[in-house]
Amino acid sequence: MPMAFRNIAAALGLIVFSVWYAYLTSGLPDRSIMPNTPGPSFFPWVIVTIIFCLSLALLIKSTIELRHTGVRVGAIALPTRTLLMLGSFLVYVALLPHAGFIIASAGFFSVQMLLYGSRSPALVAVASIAIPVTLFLIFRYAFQIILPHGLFAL
Amino acid sequence: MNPDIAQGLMQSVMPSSLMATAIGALFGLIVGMIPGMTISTGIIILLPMTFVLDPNVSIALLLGLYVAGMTGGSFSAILLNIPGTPSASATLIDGHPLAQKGEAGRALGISICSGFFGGMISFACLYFIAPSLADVALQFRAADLFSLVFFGLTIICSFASKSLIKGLLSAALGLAIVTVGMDPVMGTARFTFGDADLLSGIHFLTALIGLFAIPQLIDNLKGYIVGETADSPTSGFGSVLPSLNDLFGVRYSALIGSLTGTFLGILPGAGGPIAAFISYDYAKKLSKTPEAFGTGSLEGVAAPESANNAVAGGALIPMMTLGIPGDPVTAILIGALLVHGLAPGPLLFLEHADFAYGVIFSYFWANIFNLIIALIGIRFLVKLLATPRALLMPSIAVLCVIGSYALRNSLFDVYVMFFFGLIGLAMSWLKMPVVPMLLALVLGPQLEEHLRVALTASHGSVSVFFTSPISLLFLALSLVSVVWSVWMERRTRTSVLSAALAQDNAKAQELLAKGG
Repeated sequence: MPMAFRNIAAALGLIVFSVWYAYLTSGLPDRSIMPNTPGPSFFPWVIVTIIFCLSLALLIKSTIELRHTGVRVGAIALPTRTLLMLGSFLVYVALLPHAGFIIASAGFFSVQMLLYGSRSPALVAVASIAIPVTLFLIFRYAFQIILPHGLFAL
Repeated sequence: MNPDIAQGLMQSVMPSSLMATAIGALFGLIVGMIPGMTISTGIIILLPMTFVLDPNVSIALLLGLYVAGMTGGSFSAILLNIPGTPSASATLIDGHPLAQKGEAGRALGISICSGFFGGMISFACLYFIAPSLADVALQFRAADLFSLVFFGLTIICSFASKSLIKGLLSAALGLAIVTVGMDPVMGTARFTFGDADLLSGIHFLTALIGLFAIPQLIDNLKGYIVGETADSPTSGFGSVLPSLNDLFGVRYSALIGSLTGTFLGILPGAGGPIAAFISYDYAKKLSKTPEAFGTGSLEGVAAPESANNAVAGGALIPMMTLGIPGDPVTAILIGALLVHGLAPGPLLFLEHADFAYGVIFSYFWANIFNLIIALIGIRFLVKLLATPRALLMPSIAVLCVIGSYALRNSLFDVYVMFFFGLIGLAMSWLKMPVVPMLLALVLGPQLEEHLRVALTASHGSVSVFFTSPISLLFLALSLVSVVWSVWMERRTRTSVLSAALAQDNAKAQELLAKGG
C-alpha cells in the first residue's frame, strides 16, 4: 500500500484517538495546589492538542501528496508467517498463567522453530524442552526470579 | 585524590564488577556480531539478570555489553559484508573489500584497536566533562529543566526521522502513554479505567522490549528463507594484531572519528550510524589518499569504528549528568538504574558521587576488556555466526517475556509488552520512528513535573520560561532544531524530485533518439 494512503489512515486514526483522549481528559478531576496553576488534566490537554494538530498536518500533507501522484489504493498484505508468529505469541502470553512458563514456552518455542525454518523434528523436540527448562532453572535458582509455574510448582 | 573518585575506582575494580564487565563484553561482542541482533536486544536479554544484582555490578555488565557490541558489529561487516549493528554500516565500505583481498585480519585488528582508541578518548571526555556539567546542571531551576528536556525531545525528533511530523507524533504519543497512571505532582489517578494494574502506569522498559524486540523478530522472520543456513567465514584471516605501521597510518582517522563520535554521542538522537558516516566522510576529505576509500582503505575502517565506540562514552555524558538518554541503549541504562533506585541526573553526582565515578571507571574497564577479549577471542567468536536462527530467535522471544515479567513479577507487563510490539509493528509499517516514543516514555514524567512545578511557582505565568536565560537558550535551540529539520526535509525532497526529473528527461531523450 502506497505511503500516502498509510499516512492518511494513520492520521485519521490518530485524530479519532485524540478525540477519545480529549473526552477522557475532560473527565479528570479539576484540582490544583493553588488557583491558576496546572492540575492533573493540564498536561493531557497539551498533549491531545499537539497530537490533533500534528495528525491534521499529516492528513493535509498526505492528501496533497496523493493528489500530485495520483496513486491508487493498494491492498494491505500481511504475510502468513507474520500472522502465525503474532498469533502464536498471543496464545503463548494467554497460556502463561494457566500452563506455566515451561509448558507454554515449550509449545511456543517449537512453533517458532518451525516458522524460522527448522525441519528436524528431533532438534525441534529437544530444543523446545531443553531451552525453556534451562532458562527456567537459571532464572529461578541463579537469579531468584520466580516465573509463572502453572501446573508445576518448582 | 577526591574520596568519591577513589571510592568509584575501588568499586569498579572489585572482582564482581570486573567479572561482570568481562562477561558483558563477551556477550556484547557476540550480540553485536550476529546480524539481526542489536545491542538493544542484547541489553534486553541481560536486563532481568540485573534486577537481582548489585547496582555497580549491573551497570558494569551492561556497559561491557554496550561497548563491545559496537566492536562486534564490525566483525560481520568486514567478514560477511553485513553490518552486525547499524553503527557498523560504514565499516563495511572498506572493511569487506579488505577481506576480499585476503586482509581480513588487518581490517579486524584496526577495527578493534580504533574502537579502543575511540572509547578511551570518550572516557577522557566523560571523566573531565561529566562532573563539571553536573555542577552546572544543579543550578538549573524547574523552568530550565523543562526547556532542557524539551530540547532533548525535539532534537531526537529532528535526527531520528526523515519526516519531522512523524517524529513529533511518535514523541507526542509517548507522552500520552506516560500520562496513564498516577499524576506525578498530585497523585491523581489518570486513564486507569479503575484497573489497579494501570495505577502504577506503563513501565517504559516493558514498552521498550515490545517496541524493539517484536518488530525485530518479525524482520528476521521476513528475511529468513526456508532452507537457507547462516553463512560463516570459511577461510582463515591471519593475524589480527595490527602492525605499528598500520596503527601509525590510521592515527588521524581514528582521532577524527573519536572526536566526532564523542561530540555526536552527546547529542540526543544522533547515535552510532550518523557518527560513523560523518567521521568516514571527514576522514576521506582530510586523507592524503581519498581515492583509496571504498576500495579497502584502513583509514576507512578506523574512522567509523573509532566514532561508533566513542559515541558510547559521549552518550553517557548527558545520561549521567542530565538524565537525558542519548540513544535507546542509554535509555535502557537509565531504566536499569531506576530499578535500583538510582536516578541519573545532576543529583547523582551530589548524592551518589562514588557510584557515578564507579560508572565512569566501569566504562574504562569495558573498553579494556573489549580490546583484550576481541583480539584474543575473535577466531572462536566468529564461528558463532553460523548459529541457526531457528534456535536464536525463539530464545530471544522467550527472554523478552522473561524480561517483561521479571520487572514487577506481573503478567500484566507481559501483555503490555505484546501490545507495544503491535504498536512497534504499526509504526514500522508507517515508517514512524520508534526512538522518539521511547525517549518520551523515559523523559515524559520529568517533562510534566518540571512544567507544572515551574508554572505553579510562577502562579501560572508562562513568562518564567522566557525570562530565564538558560530556559530561553534551550527553547531557542529547540526551535533551531525544528527549523533545520524542516529545511533538510525540503532539501531532500527537492533533490529527489530533481533526480527523478533528470531521469525522466534522460529516458525521454533516449526514446526520441531511438524513434528518430
